[in-house]
Amino acid sequence: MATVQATATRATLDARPTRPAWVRSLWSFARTYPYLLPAIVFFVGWQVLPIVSAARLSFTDDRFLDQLSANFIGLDNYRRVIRDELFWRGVLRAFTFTCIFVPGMILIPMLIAVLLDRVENGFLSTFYRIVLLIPSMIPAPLIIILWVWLYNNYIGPINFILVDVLGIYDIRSQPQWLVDPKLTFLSIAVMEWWWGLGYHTMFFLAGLAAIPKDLFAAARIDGASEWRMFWSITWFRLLPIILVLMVVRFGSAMAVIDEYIIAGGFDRSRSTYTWTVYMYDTAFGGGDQFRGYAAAIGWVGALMMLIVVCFMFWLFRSRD
Amino acid sequence: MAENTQVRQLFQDALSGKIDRREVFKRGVALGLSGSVVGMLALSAMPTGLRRAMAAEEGKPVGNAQPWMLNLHPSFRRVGDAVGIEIEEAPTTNFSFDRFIAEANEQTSTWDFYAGVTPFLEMISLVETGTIEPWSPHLPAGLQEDLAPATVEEGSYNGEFYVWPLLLDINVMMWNSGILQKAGLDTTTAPATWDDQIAAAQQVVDSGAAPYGIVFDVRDWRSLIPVTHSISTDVYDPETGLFQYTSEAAVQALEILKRMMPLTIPDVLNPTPVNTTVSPDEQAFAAEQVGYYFKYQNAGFQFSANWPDPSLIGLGALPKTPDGVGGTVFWDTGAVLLTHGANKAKAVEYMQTISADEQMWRDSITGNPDEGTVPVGQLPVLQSLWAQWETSPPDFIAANPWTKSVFESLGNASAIAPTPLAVLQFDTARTEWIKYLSGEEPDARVAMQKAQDAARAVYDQNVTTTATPTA
Amino acid sequence: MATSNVAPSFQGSPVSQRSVREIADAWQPRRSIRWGLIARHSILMLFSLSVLLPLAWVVIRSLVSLPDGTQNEILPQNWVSPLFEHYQWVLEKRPDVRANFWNSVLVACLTVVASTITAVLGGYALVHLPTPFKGVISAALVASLFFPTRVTAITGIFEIQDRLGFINKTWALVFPYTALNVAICIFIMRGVFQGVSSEILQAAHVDGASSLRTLIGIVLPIIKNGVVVVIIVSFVAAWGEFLLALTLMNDADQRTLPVFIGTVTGGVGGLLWPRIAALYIMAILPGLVVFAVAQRWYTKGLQEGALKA
Repeated sequence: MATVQATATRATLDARPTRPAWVRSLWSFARTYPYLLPAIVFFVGWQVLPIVSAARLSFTDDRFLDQLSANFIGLDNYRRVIRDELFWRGVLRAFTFTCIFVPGMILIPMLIAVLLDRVENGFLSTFYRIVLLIPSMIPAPLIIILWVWLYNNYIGPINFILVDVLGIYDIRSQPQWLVDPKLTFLSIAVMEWWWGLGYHTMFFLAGLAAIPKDLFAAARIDGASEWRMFWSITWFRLLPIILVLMVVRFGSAMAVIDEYIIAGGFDRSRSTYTWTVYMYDTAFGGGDQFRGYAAAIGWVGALMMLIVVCFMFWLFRSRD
Repeated sequence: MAENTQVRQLFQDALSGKIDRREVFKRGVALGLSGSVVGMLALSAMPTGLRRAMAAEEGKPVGNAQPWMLNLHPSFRRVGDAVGIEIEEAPTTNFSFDRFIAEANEQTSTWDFYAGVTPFLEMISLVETGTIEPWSPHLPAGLQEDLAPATVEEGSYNGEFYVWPLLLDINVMMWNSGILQKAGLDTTTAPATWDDQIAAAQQVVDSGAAPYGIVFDVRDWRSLIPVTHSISTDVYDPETGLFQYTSEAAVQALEILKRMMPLTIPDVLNPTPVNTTVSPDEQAFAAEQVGYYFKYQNAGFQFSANWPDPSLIGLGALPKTPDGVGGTVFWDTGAVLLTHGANKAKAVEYMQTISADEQMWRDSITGNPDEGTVPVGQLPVLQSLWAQWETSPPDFIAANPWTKSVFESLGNASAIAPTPLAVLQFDTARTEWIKYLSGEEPDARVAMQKAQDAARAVYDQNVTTTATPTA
Repeated sequence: MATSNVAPSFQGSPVSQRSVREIADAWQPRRSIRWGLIARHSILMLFSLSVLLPLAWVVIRSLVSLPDGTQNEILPQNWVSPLFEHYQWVLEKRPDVRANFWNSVLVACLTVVASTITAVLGGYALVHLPTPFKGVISAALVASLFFPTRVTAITGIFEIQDRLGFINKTWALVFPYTALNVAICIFIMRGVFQGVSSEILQAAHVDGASSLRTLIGIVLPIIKNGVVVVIIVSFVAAWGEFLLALTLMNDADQRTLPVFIGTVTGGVGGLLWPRIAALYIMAILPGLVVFAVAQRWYTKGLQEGALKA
């Protein structure tokens, strides 16, 4: 990529050798930025500005419904957030979910990819890939609704199988998948794994395809077992993907919200009432809609996540 | 003139942000201005910050109702077509009504009326923000007197009549006669006391007739408060209207619920989100897994409609404690007249028509197979209609004698006091008091004290002003 | 979450499907361990079934009679008759659902068009044009992927849409939707453009073609598989978005289908379980059809570098 850029720049320089530097740079702006204009409009207008505007709100006592103009109150909201027990409980809840969700979202697709990579039958290989990708084509809320049904006590097939078919539980002791605080996050993680199965498998398949096959051939000649080959070659080669997925999935898991709202609503006593739901509930839920405080919750949460992400990047930094 | 100056002073204070809108109301009312005038005054003084969402189209009458109402009662749209008023689905996810307030703040309204107000939840906020205005000036003579007095009182605030009652719901005890028969229990009347009730529920479980004896909806206004009313109805703070969780009757009610816990469904304490799906109590009753069920009668009817034999549902008055007053809770889902709506006469015409529309109540009581709706059992409150049904009962009334007894039990029922907190009071308090039911808090009084404090805190945060009150 | 998120970067160059084939053919694994083969397929079949069975269950639910809809038996005592009555009921009795469906189609199509144009132009500028501050732009886009924008920015997005008068206007969802897609779609296209050799472009440049003409006439046909990936990614994200649609719309006729289904009062009135199941099947079909049609180009596009960022 560096070479591409260099040649292109040289071509531009060659074409206009006599113009002064500022004209040249202005010219290259004028020639290239129209291409980036849509991206900049959308990115600045609906990503950067809202974040900035949330930051501004977080220093005010804005309540949406009371129709009074917001007052600047400095760091008051932030002081309150830091002392807000509900916020910290929400962060802890989100973190618990993240710890359950992330390992599975990496290891299960990796297992599938390693197995799928070895499938030689062309038809079956395509069949598995397509079937596994089906969930990622279903919209998020519909995935959640589906699993809310599957976990349901009264119409759901999971407890029907556990209680009526297998008889492992009776009707009073049947698992309360989305209600029991011990099970809620596991249940939601299973749902997320199901959803992301094919999509994540594709990453690992692409990673596996990039491993030169003669590495395996050589190892095999040396008499290495499949198990040893996995640890000495495959795992090592997939590690960069794993690390990046860890960071990315940490970020998405800490900020999960749709799942909690649809499966648990705004019930504060439920484990699904995480800091994200708390923020949304404060901004758009009951009462006067304390947008200022909600924005502060959002920012404290975001900053904490950013710190962890930076730490992870530092930890996983390339050491070669 | 002096009054005018005071009004102007009030206006300026509001504009300068020195006092908030509740203060404007207090002083406005003290100046003898009517609620809606004060509302207008307050709102015109406020910085808006909100954009007008959608301008009302002049001359095109539009009303709306909550989604569940349109789902249950096809007559809402049918009567709309007949009267010439379009009926839309109201933007009211989770009982929210901020859209109406936001529009009123812009001096506009997309709709002429909103059918879907439960007085104890939304009425005060809608009145205080000037979003709605009283019906009385627009009503034909005699109409207000024809509505059941208790429901008119429920829909009134500061002496003005704001919520036109339409769909009556009363909390009753219901049961599945098939299951009770198997358990060897009386299928004609409900047990008289809560002790008997719990014993009967125990018998359902012990006999193996059903896995669960009794089920309820844990939301305060559907369980804790009706049980409290069966003991005493004097349980509201006269100043704020807040439910007194620490009152003796409420604590007793919580103990009664606690005794039901071993007999009820395992997910009773975790109702599903209000609008995502049906709640577990409803599903258990629909799946014929439970003997007794107490809630408003329409829940029982809706969720027994798909039993192999829907006629097996029985219902009666709520049990009481031996020295209890034997009350229950009723509410009426009604319509409010939006202050900035353009077609007030049309709104009155619509409400008048649908209140007395026979098809509406026939469908509500027996269901409408053509529309695919099930019986709901929500009842009218027009006294003249009941008198007419008394003298010459139509088939659907004659075949359903429970309608009369439920309507008459209105005499024992009382409304829940309204507060500006709407559903927030209960959602806040419940997270505390259910800890006693779940066993997390061993002392009922401690749980109730925490519930009371939590509700009070959220009240202070949302309602009470820091400005010093002016007499 | 899965699809609306990030295509992570990793080492190694993309390999076309053909070369995978060649390698696979050339490499003969040991044939002796048949049980390994069986175990491998059993596990893969198990996972495939875990994907298919829940969906098959919903199909069954959409065909059972209403009384069976309250029970949890997997196979009902009675099927509804006629078999597709619930589907018919939803289509005939719920005009609001139809309206919500078309809202979703509208906003998904707008978002696909906006995201694709944005990503193709942006990716091209970031790879093949002498754009100043490429690094800054890429860094800003990357940073946005690690910031919980969806949650933190929602109060701000509400404010901006409110100022512009876009609250309660379905089509206006295209702005936040495209913004949420913009970083990921540009990275996908950047990966694809990096697979296009710069000699081709230089040749066109020497022939006197403008950069835009080069893009449309020469580059676009080469990268069409990558464009399919961007179309699918942005379609799926827009078709299924819930939170913003829930927050920014409030009228029933402006809702999108996911909001309707996500907040539907299941089991109340006419909308009983089996009918919601029918509605559910109708709601996921468009996505699956788009996928089925574009699947060949999609997987190709992924391998041509869309997964590489």
